[in-house]
Amino acid sequence: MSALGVSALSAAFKAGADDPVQALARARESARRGKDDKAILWNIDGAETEAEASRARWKSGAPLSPIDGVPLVVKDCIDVAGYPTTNGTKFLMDKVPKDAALVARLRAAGAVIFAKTNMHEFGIQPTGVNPHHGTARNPWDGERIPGGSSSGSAVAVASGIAPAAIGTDAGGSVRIPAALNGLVGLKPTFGAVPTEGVAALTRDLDHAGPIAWTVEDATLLFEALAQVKIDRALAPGKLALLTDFFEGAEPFVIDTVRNAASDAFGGLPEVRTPLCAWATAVEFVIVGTDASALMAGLLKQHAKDLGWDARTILQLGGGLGQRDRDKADRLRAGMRRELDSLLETHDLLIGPATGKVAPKLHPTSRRSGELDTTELSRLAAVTFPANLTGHPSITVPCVPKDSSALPVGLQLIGRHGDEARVLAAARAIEAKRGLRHPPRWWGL
Amino acid sequence: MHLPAPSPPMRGFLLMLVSKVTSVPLLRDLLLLKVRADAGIPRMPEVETLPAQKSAAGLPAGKP
Repeated sequence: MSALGVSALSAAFKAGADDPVQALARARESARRGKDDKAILWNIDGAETEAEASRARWKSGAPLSPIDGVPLVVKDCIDVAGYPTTNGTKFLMDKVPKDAALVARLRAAGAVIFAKTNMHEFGIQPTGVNPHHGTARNPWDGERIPGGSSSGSAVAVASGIAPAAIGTDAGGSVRIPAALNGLVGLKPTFGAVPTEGVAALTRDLDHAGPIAWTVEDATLLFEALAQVKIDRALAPGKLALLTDFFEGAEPFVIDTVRNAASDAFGGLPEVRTPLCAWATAVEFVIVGTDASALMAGLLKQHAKDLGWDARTILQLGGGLGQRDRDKADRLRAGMRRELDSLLETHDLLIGPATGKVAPKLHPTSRRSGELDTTELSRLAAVTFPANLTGHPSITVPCVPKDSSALPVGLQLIGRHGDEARVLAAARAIEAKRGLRHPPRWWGL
Repeated sequence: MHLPAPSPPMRGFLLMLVSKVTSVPLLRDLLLLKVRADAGIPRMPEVETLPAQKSAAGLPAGKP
């Protein structure tokens, strides 16, 4: 596993113990061996040429960045020139002419994009169930959902196909699959990573961010995506537990997150967020109204080609009125003020990344998709607030290393623009918990 | 967290049926009455908008 992580690969390239051409060949072979797990939708031709150029740069001692030559995958709502951006559908098959801005930044840093990954249709639900392309298989337990909507991105990393991936997150779609697959997932501050060339679910909730094995790997990718330098010497500072975020969560999730926080930071004060506790209703209104407006043309033209869940959500969203929307927008602004106020006296806030471990996937849902608002809200109610307020948020695995339990993610939320402190605290959790390997593994 | 009222999962034939029903505006609006109530939308607290903070993310608030 560690040999496949971004920073481990980078160190091996630097030492001459490995090279980008070999790393890409291993990733291709892992993808081939794991193809029935449905993580990958498109293999990108021409990546070998980029890997050879990167190998030459490392040999001459002039890599473009620490991620030069690292093979990566991106979610299939992100444009890669010469390939379709299906956005999880079965009908958006036109090849796009230009890379998304974030892909251009990764390539400028030398990264080798070798595949595009499966996802929930339009990114509209957090389960990752896709009746058109098949549902990516959770390597911890194939009978459970992978989480979504960046399902294939998380599964590709967790099952050893790719060292890291890029996902997008309008309501938890990076953090939820990362948490359910035992990985680190970073949703940066709104606007920190460009979203030009990324298919939008909403007008201003969409973010792009890395899914990776380690906090350092996520840091390296964030630096390339946002073109910033993160201070790794920063201390986590003052932390508090968000008690509302624990309400309604499974007891195992509550205990695991609280124990990890306590082990890393000792006893912490508890704070309340009464407005953020309404995040599910607000997210439902904003995603429903935005997505139905943005995709009205697609719905009209392709209604019968859509999954039944996506079609139902878009149609219901189209029925929500301006009064609901205005009220949700006002509440959203209040949520932002509420978190900003808490973050004046605390540097970081802690809660679970999901309210439960990966739920079982009903066999019928594989074929038909599903719409289960009870499960959906219990999974994602705690990831919605940071999308609605734009604050940076990360999930870091927090189940003890010697446990065989399903993965649980601990979520950290920080001030706008303060990814450095969010990453610092995640590193402290990681140091106490370490990495765990899923039983299903295709890595070489 | 304020979570929606528990409701049975929709999949298979039921989900297909609901996707057809919600394509008819009148039937959609009837179903939406229950969905809004279950999601707690009518119970969302009223929050006053401050002049300087019309958008949560620093952008113009979106419109349906």
